[in-house]
Amino acid sequence: MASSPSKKTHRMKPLEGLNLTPFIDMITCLMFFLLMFAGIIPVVIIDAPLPKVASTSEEVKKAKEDENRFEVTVAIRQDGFTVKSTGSSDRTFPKTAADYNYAELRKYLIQLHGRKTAAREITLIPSDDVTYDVMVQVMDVSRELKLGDIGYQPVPPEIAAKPESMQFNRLFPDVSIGGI
Amino acid sequence: MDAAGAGGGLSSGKARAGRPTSRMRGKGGGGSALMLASMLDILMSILFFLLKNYSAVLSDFTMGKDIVLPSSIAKIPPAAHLNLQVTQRAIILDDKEIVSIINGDVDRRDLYRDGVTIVRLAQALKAQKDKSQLIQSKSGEVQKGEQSFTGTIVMQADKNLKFSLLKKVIYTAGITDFVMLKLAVLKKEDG
Repeated sequence: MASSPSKKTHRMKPLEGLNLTPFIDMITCLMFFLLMFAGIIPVVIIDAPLPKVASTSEEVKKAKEDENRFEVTVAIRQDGFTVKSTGSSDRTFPKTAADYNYAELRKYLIQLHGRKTAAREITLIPSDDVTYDVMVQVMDVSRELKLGDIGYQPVPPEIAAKPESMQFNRLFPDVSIGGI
Repeated sequence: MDAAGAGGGLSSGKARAGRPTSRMRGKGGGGSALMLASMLDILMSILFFLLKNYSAVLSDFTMGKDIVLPSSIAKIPPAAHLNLQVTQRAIILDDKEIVSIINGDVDRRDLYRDGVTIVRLAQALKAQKDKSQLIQSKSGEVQKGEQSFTGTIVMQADKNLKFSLLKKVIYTAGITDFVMLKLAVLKKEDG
């Protein structure tokens, strides 16, 4: 009669530990792929649609009806800014020794926005010698409120990372480039 | 991940006082194994970080060479549209040089009689518009009577360029129905 197999003969070889090499290879490849193709380009977009020219009779009629709307234009020159708005006299912000007076322009635009909070549009009219950088800085000043500005509302944390958060603290978000 | 469970247990663990037995030596008690677990942890952390941020930065937006973009607090990520680059040296449409820029402006010979329209740029934009409309009509994306062409264009321009040049570019885009102008800028971190 055959004897029962001893525990010694059928002893399983113990595992020598998990072989992690293929796993590490895979992760390394994935990392290189992600780093290469998701190169962090800190580029963002500013919407600046061109002012629409009323071409049809309906559009001309609508434009006439809209004559009462609140219009704000900022003329940008080498020596400073001039803001024109519906129902207000022109206001000039001369350039200081260092730079354009963006802070004062901002304060005034916030003040204007306070008169008609539903207003969204602003038109920039740069002169020929103004640089593109200055135009973008004026767009930044015009588009949204910052922390500490009058009327600033903190974004609720539950929507902070969502696109809805972009609807908060708008000043004149619809910027057009005029003078073309 | 537990370090001891992924290779760390090979060299440590059952250390006893006295001389190691032949069985202990045979199991590799003499050499130290590579500690991969901690490296794996680091790699996994980086991988999760990259995967989480991948969707946020994923874009086929190509930044032009020789362009210093202005900084802005804007937050909208770039999307794939017709790409117009205005550098200090040339106007480039979809990676193809259209017009050269000399001394910060377009040569008068490249302008139409009105002194504003850049002729070759207008032709190139018109060709792009026709191509876009043709593709849309062939693919059946457009319903009858529906406006197919949105006229969206992304402009990357050097921050030191003067408006005298940019207005010619913008005007030319406008008369060829590219009115939805989007300006590419660098994101200002502090907002």
